[in-house]
Amino acid sequence: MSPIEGLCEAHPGAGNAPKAEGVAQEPLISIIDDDDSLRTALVGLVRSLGYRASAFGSATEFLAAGEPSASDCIVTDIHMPGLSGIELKQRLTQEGCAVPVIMITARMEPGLEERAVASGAACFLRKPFEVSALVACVEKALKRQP
Amino acid sequence: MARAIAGWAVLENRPLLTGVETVLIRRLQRWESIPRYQRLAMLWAFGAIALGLVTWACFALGLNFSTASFAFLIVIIALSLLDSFVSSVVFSVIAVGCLNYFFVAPLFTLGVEQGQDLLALAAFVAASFVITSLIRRVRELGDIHREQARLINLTQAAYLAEAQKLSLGGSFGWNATTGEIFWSDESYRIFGYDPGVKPSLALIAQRVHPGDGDKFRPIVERGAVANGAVDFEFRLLMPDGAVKQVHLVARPLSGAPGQFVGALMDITARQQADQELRESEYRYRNIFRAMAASFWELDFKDAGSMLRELRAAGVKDYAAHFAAHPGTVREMMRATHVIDVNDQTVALFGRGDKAELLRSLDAFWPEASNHIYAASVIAAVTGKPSYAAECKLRTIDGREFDALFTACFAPETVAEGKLLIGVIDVSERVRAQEMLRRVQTEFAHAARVSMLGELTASIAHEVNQPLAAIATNASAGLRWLDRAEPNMEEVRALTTRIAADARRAGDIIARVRNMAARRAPERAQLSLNGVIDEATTFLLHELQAQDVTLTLTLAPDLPPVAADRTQLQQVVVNLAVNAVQAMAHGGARARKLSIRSARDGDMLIVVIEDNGPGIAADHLDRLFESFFTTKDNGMGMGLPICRSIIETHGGRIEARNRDEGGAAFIFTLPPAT
Repeated sequence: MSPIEGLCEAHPGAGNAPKAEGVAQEPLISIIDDDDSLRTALVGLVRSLGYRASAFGSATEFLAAGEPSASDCIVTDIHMPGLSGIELKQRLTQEGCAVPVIMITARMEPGLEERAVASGAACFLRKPFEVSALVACVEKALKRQP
Repeated sequence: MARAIAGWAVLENRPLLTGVETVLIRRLQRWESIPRYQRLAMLWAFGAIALGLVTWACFALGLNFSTASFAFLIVIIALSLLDSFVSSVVFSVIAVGCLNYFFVAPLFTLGVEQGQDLLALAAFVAASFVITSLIRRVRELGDIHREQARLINLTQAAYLAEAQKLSLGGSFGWNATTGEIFWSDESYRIFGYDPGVKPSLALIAQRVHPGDGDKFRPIVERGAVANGAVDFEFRLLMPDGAVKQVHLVARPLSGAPGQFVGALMDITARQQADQELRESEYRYRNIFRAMAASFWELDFKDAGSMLRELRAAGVKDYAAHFAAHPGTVREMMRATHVIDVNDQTVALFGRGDKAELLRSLDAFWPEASNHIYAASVIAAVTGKPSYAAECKLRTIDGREFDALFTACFAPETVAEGKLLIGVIDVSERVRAQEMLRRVQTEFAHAARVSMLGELTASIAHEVNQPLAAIATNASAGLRWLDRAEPNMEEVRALTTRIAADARRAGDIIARVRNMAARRAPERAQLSLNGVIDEATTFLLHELQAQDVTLTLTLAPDLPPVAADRTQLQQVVVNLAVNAVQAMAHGGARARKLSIRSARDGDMLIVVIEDNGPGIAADHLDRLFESFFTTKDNGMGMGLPICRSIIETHGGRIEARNRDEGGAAFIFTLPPAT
């Protein structure tokens, strides 16, 4: 089976998968960014919010790890080697995976936000972003979780 | 017999013969010139008659044996003088027979009664043999002398002929009365006639240059009439059109009225050399006086003596010595005296008075130019023909200016302790070069700023990353602090990361600021690979945004280059950005950028290749022209500035299309020395 097949199949403890009864687990936020320092910072922020965090250097790495089924929310950079953040979201949608995706970018190119939103991004933020805005996006995304 | 007389003279060690000897020799030479068989017959007949007459006379006179033998001895001497030893021996034997027959008892027989008669006959034979032997020796000496004289004459003639060839001088004799002329071999050569031709005035007239005909003839006529000495030069026009310059001297032959002896000298080569020397001197004087350059004649004798003293003291490496003892250089300058300057020098260095410039050279030589003086001295002592360098020189007023200094070490003048130096004021050129350098620096800066403008998005991305990290880390830290039980470990870790990200942002800004700074280029020893690495940090996000894969193939152990870091980065970034932009217009092919460094002979080489559409054939030759651009919003200055930077660093840059598609830009740089 290809690593990206069955992206949103049930997974014990997964965010949008049925939770194991009686087990209270904090939501898992997956961080995907090719910039080491920002990725580490985002992990730190998520943990300070009281959530669990997993970190990946690229979307391909994220998919290969089978994380979509476990994640409650994805925070991803848009421009990365290999799959971009928008392409990742499109891939998840195709696979019926409704995990919310927050997209961040340092690029200023015109039309990028529109393309991100059109792909189904829960939030679009430009670096350097207001951290409170990112926190709001994450919490909003988690509240939408079933 | 002539040989015998000459032989006597030799025995007496006399170089010359007396008058009587000379007459005798002449007559006897006539006798010896008669054919031998005829002469022998005459001799034998004469000998027989002479011996017969002496026998008859002595017998008729009743002379005794002793007197008769003396008479016979005289005859034998005379006969032996006339011919060979053998004839003389034969005549001696006949004489002994006659003496025995007619004068020794018993008479009319060949017998001898008394022992003393036998002894007397033996003494006669011995005396006659000794005399004939002596005469034979004398004849042989005469032969040797004559042969030696002949050889000496031949040798002297040969010497004379060779000497005349060497000196290009010939001799001649002229009998003005009979018109008879004698030429030596060299005279024939000068006139260009075959030695078999009989010399004549007509032959001479054929050769005399038409322009000198009027000059030549009256002088010859005057010489013939007045019998005076002549000394003049004239030209010969040879059949092949060549013109010879001839010097002729002649004087009357003493004791021979109307006869002249003289010498001809071909002075064509000498006169040409004189002419060339005059022209050279003229040119030199003209150059020295009239050229619009400053010329100096220096007396280097005292400074040369100082050099010799240094050498005697064991100094072998003058360069090292001068470097260690700069005072020696100044002393040598003080010992170098200006002995002449031209007007241009007065105008350039002086105040209108040439005399005030005729002093020690050090007055015109700033300390900063000591090394140039030292280098020129070293060039002179190491046998270099000349030396040239740019340096600062000083006028009599103390004003310093940029000069091109040249020194000529012609062996002839150096041997006399003199040097010729030239100075050209290059202040304007140096100022213009400085201005050009400033303009180039300004242009390079403008191009860098423009290039940074094109990279704004990448730079913003580069800076935004650490800024976003800092903001995120700070926010997380506050949250850990705001907890009921602050987690200080987390806060410490986050703060450490904040500091690291701040440094990263600072580094990026510093790189951009360096690239954007307006400053004079500074050369330093740099790693070429390091420069390439730094340059690519400007490009990473641009490459990522354009989906370009970068391959770096950097040769290890490359020697450093002496270069300005920012300018080299500018070249690499500019060429790489051009490649990325070209590939962006080149379709959907997987975009690849390759940057390679390597050694290429004595140079280092950097190749930047892409797999874009390549360069249009009609653009290839114009890429490095100013204001030539294929971009919609390009200035056309990027590549010309790249070329200017590379060439200023001693390298070359070129562009070409790759066989497999795409373009390649190649630049070379010399390793630092």
